[in-house]
Amino acid sequence: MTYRITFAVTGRARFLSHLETVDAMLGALRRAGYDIALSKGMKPRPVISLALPRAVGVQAQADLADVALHGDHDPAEVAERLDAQLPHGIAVVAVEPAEGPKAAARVDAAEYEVEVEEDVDWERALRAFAAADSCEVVRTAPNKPDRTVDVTRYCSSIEHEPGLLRMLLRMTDAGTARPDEIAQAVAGLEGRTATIKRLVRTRIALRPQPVGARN
Amino acid sequence: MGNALLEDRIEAVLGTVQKPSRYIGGEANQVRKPHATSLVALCYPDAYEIGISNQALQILYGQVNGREEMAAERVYCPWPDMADAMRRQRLPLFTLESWRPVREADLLGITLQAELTYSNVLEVLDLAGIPIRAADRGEDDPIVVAGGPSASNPAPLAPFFDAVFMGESERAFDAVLDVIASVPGRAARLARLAENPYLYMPSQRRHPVERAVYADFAIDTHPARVVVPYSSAIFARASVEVMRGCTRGCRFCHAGTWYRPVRERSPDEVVEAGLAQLGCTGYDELSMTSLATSDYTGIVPAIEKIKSRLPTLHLSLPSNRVDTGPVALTAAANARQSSITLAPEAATQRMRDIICKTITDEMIEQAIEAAFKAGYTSLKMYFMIGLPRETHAEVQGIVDLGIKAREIGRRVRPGGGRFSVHVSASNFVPKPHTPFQWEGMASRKQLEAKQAYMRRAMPTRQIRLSLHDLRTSMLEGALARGGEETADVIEAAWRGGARFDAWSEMHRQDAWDAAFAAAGTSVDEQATREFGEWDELPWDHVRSGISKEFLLDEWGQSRAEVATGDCRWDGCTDCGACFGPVRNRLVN
Ligand code: SF4
Repeated sequence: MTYRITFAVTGRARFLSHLETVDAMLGALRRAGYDIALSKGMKPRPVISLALPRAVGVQAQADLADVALHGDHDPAEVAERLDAQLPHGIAVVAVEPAEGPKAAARVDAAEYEVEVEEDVDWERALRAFAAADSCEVVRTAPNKPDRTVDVTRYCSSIEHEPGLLRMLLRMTDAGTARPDEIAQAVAGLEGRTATIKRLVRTRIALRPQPVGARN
Repeated sequence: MGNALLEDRIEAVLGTVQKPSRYIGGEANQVRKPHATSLVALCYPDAYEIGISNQALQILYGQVNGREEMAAERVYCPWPDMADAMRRQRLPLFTLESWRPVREADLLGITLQAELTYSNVLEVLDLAGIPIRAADRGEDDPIVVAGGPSASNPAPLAPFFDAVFMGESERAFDAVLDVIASVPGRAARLARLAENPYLYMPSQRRHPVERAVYADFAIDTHPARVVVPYSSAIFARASVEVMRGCTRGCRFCHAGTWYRPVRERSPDEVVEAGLAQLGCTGYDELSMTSLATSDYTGIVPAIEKIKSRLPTLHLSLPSNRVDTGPVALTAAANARQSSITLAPEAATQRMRDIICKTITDEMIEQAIEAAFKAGYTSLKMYFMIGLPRETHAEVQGIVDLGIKAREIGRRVRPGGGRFSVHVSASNFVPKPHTPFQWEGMASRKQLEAKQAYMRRAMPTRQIRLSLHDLRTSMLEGALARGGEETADVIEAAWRGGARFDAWSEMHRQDAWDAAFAAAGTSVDEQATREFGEWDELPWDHVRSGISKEFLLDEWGQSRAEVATGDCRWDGCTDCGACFGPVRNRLVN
């Protein structure tokens, strides 16, 4: 049976990497007494997938993990027992039985709150951002040539309230943009650099399940 | 400075360093005790991923936290990127559990598991804002105590510690904690600690000190709720210590004297302790640890009992003994393991007699055959080079045995299946408290030549050869038997940038060369130094319980190329370790 775990990552635990988060989840499930299903093949691996990797340092309010457990369990009980075993800073929000394709294959968008300093005129910058046809950022990576990306097409919505940018970022086959990238791109329109204090992923939106989808 | 402010500042730095999870704590089974009245910081002076699985510190963590009024909190040596950031931001070294400055601890315990962590000891003290020399510490500084096997020669780090604890912590370290709990003030505490027979107080130079032996080796001190590390890259399995001590008598082996005599736990105790730790950690593998688990006389019933309780559990037996029985047992215990390790240590009978490794060529060949027949696809064999009185024949012997193993593999691997042989040769480093403590290390030139020969002579098809970095081995040799004058060298090397010396990519040969040169000597001169039988050794005042006569005798036997029997089966050879309740205790 596959369960979808909605979980929050706060405090120091946000410094865990994606893989460390997966390991923490698996370890906690085992300590809670659950038998995690293994994949078939030469090197069986526990069947778990997180909907979206989380960058180190980013907080999450409702990230998603799909995990296959042997046996049928009461989701509320899974939530309670798992929560008791998770490392400090990772907490279960909800558990429900999952059907159809795994969440990772259905991510449509992710919503972020970016805590920023008010040293940029954000309202004016956002008006410029909305009016711009494109807004390019340069991505650098070690051992790779720099790449220029137009981030406007990934940003479905963005709004400002004091100390905060709230944005919905689309996940497309061609890629997506990072929330800090968007904040910098917007600040760049004002000739400024954003001072980012905290990044919070508040929600992961899934595409509706296709009709007739099966496990 | 308020703690909230410190937390914010730490978080700001964590966003900028590699692997920030090394510094966050909060793992499953960590213990937080905000209402404790004293704080004991426990440090493994290497990276988090190296220190976290150390058994001795896990035991001590439970021992300290078992006391109502005390909290144990962990600290590791920050990686250089973190150390740089901390210095830039003026952040003090903090504990993982509550992010409290280490300097606020009442006691800072540092385990010395390897000489190549010595420069990190200074790094830890300095980052904590604690004066590195004990003489410069004031009333507000923690009492800095060393422990662990390398503390058995306290001389090289003596000026940096307030006290050095000798031996096994279970029960005996309670007396140290009692003083911390009941006596206020650093000076008064130090005065009381000076009465402890197991503590060496470097300020009272070279006074005699005893080694603590945990005679009962009772199961109640075995930790169940061990901290589960972040990151699966780490040794992630439960472990149960089935036996302590080893009396095989290998003459190069420090643990083989330092943990005498042998004390075994009963199979029932082993099973219960193993199951308890598995339950608390969620691991799916259990390691039965000791210095030589295949010598544990309760091994068969212990495996049977565990398997009957948890049939799918993977058991690992760090089996180094070269016997067919253990090979078969290891294979039966863990079906998913595809590689096995054998440790003949030396490839010729002559050298095995010199080092007292009582196995024969025939036994080695049978064990290799048994390993391949059992289905292992990878066979690893450990050897040492640079052993006393080694000739070309011994080095050639390692090459020959590698080839022999390949031949056996080709002959017996069912269906001619794929396999590989991995030959690992480390460089012998003489250690204190062993029969080889008087010997010098082979010279760098000799070792280079031996390594070069092995690289040339060892075929590469289906055989992988790994040789150890000479820079780190020579440094280990220079530090292991160093006297008090070595402390200045260590400090100078650390000031010159030496850190994480065991990590080849971090090794700063230049810093060490300059530091030894400033003291009028060199790494090589110190490492190859021989002591005479009448010389006073820097660790002579440390009473390991093993008599110097015994060590001298064994040294003599080694020159006569005669092996000595194991007192478990061949009669007591009067090493001196046993007295009163302290004696070999076997379950079968
Ligand atoms: S005193 Fe005798 S029995 Fe005890 S460890 Fe030494 S040699 Fe073995």
